[in-house]
Amino acid sequence: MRARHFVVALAAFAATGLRAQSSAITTNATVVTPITVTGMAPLDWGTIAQNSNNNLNPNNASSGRFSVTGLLGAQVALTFTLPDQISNGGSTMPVTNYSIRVNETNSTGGSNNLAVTSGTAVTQTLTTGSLFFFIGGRVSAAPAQQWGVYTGTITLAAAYTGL
Amino acid sequence: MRTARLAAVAAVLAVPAIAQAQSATISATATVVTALTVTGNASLAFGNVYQGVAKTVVATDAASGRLAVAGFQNAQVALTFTLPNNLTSGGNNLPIDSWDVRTNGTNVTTGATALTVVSGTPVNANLVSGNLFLFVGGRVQPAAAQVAGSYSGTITLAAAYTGL
Repeated sequence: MRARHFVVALAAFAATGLRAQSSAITTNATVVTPITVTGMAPLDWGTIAQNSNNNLNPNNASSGRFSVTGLLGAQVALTFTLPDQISNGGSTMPVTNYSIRVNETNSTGGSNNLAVTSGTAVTQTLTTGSLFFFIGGRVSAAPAQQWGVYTGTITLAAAYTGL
Repeated sequence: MRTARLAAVAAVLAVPAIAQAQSATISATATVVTALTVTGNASLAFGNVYQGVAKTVVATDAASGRLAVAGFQNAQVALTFTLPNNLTSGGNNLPIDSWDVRTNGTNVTTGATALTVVSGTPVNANLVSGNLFLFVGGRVQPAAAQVAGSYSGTITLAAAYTGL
């Protein structure tokens, strides 16, 4: 009986010494709303005569329009790709003096100028979760500009900067 | 510990997926049209008028003034007439108190339609056929003591594409 008692006591001691220690921490990752970039309207100079130019203001109803939506308060890097010219078959026509305005609502009223260089990212904050962009520019037709419809493509890429 | 490690891995995987750039495109378009030409084809000639007797030349009369605008088919143009209030002869004025302007797609007065014109105010018209012909008539009001002589004035038509 004595021996048996001893064994039991030893076993109890061993159990105390091997007990797992633990503590808990939490881990978090917030998956944010993906960025959505939407082309809303083309930049449309309409008809222009040979030997003339049309400097379309971004506040004009025919200005090009994009929207960007994403996480409230997140910073985004915006890269516009703006063509130097638009083309009609083999004929080209220069586009210069791009002018871009930005607003948190889909209205040119109260919009702000955004200095943009084609291909160079510029950062903005999605304070309300949405940004709207209005694009104007100048197209110049030469005296002997081939008549017809000229087109080009404007691209807007947006990515979170992580800030 | 295993649970914590798994969560960390999941977080790392999720970040590149949401940071991926999104993009969209819009088109930039313009339509180039042939330049506008405006030509004065004939003077508005009232001929001989008599003191105290108004004389009217209707737009469809052979003596009406004629102008032509040529440009891109179906383009809209803004037409601005500058119409004198008076013909002059030295320091004397001979008032013109009304105008009659009509327009047609061909160079004939038959089928011409009235165009309401205010001097200095653009009025829009469409170059349906690529040509517009304008016929200008009016009325002079010689005073009872109008000084005899040859009176003249200038009618100007300016045309510009509206972009439509």
